[in-house]
Amino acid sequence: MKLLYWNKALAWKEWRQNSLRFWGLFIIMSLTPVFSAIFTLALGALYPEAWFNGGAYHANTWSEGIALMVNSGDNWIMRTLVPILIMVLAVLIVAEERSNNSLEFLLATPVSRREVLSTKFLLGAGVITAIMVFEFLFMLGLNICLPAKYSIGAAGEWFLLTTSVYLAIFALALLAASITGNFRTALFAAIIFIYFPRILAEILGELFAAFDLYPGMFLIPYRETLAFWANHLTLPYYLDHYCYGQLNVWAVLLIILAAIIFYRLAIRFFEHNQQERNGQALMLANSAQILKVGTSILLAALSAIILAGILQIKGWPILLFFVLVYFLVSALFAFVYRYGDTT
Amino acid sequence: MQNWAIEIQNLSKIFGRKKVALDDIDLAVPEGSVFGLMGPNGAGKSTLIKILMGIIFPSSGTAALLGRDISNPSGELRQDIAYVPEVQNFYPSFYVEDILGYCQRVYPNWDKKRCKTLLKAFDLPIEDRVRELSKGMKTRLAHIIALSIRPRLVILDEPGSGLDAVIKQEFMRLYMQEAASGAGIFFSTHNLHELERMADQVAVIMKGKLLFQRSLDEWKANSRKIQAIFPEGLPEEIKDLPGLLRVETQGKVYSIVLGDHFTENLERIKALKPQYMDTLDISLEDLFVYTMKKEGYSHEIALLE
Repeated sequence: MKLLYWNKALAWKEWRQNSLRFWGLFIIMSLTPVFSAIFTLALGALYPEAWFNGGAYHANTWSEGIALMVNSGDNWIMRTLVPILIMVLAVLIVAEERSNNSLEFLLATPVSRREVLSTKFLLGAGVITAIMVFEFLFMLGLNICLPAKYSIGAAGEWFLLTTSVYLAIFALALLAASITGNFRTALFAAIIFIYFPRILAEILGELFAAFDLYPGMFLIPYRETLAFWANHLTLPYYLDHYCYGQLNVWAVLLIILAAIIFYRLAIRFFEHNQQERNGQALMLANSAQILKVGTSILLAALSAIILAGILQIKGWPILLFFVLVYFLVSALFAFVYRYGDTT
Repeated sequence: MQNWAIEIQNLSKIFGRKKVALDDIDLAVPEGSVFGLMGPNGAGKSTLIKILMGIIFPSSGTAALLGRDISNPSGELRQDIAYVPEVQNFYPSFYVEDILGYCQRVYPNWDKKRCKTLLKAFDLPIEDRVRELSKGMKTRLAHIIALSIRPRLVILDEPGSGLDAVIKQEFMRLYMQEAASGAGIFFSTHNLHELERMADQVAVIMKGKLLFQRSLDEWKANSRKIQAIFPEGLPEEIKDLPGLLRVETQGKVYSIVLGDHFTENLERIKALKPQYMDTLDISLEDLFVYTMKKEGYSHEIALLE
């Protein structure tokens, strides 16, 4: 019996289920590169005397929004809104199946878990890629036909980086959804996953400073190194700091590789996850233990950082305080698990 | 060599750390048989069925459907297996025809003509959205899908749930037709009249443990209620009868409920020289209730004030 990654019947079902969402994403992603350009072109043709952005209409006025976007990444829709929407879409297409229990119906039909998740990913990733290709071709076509403020190279570079980051965010959010339960949990996990390196670097940076673990004069370089690596491991960073001409092709390849790894991991976890109504927070280990240790460390770290800030002290007293809070919170968890209603 | 529709060996399921839902289940359902699974609420019937359908995983043990190991991750395993759960979980925003469209694409033996006939016979409007359907209508849809895939094995979890008596009986008749043409039927139900009418084999499961599996006719033939009057009260030997389920007293009359070894027990009771003795048939429902009570599943309460 073959194990496939694509199932036509499932793809048909996914399209029926999510087509409105896909069209919505297409409209939002096309606002700047397509609709805004067409709108400006039409206005310019109808009212050539009108003023645009404080200036008279020129033959290349239509391309101002695109030029900002592809030259410096300056477009809040594509830089901020679309990554969030892609994350929500990935989470929705898995978590929704659990919350209305339709996964039970699906898994009782002749499809494998691999086909279920893989088809979801391939269809979603295919739609995102198709929208981006359409927009790139649109920008390319207009650039060839009309005078424009952006170059084909800039559009191509922006297309490559943005598409790869979108795909990686989609795959990472899908991975988060594949090991969690309902929509809220999955969304929370996806946000944590996507911003994890930056959050971790911030906490570690502050904590190490509070513990006085940096060698005295090297505090700033150490924190900068930490921030550098954390930023480069955080996907939205690439969109936030995009600038035409500064793109490293290896970065694009590594982001695509990361997307493939997230996708394969998502399938692997989904294949081994129980499909109870609310899923499981983490099925690879004892989720209660992970929650207990994770929350205890986080609360202890935050308390230590805050105390160091208030008392303006650092070093071993803060380290001691950190250990104390960790054990206190752990004990509280143990008490709740033992005597509380944990159902 | 016997072919098995379902073969389960040492199957266990533990939720979390402690909650044992199934405990070392061994079960074999012959191909072409109609097999009824009985048990009180929370016995583990639905968990067992979900494991068989690959919806949840067992903690240990193995199972095979139509000779195919359920641990095989491929979906092909289920291409000729129909499943009707107790609660239907179709996509609420889909139209009935979308659900059928998906099934038509995914089941290789989908019988379009049969589906059309069933839709018409059971008055299911294909242009309605699933969320507009009543519970009974959703159950009808699930049964129509189950019958349209031309199954070799049908797994039903409380098949009558939400259906009126007429529709339920009609679906059961259709399943019996499937059984007559060689399909295996495995169903769990609390409706013991339905089970008595349909099943040729039964199994009783309680607190995750399989109490027994046997032919229904054989079980019924070996079970009786014997009413007797003994001159000097209930003899001690009665308590040692094999298969004894319960002894009830009404005045001088003792009702001895036997769940097994009827013929052998009858001779033993005769040997005790009762003043009066009569043998009564026992319904499957009573038999089940007495079996459960013997196993400690009792909810007898004093009269409420």
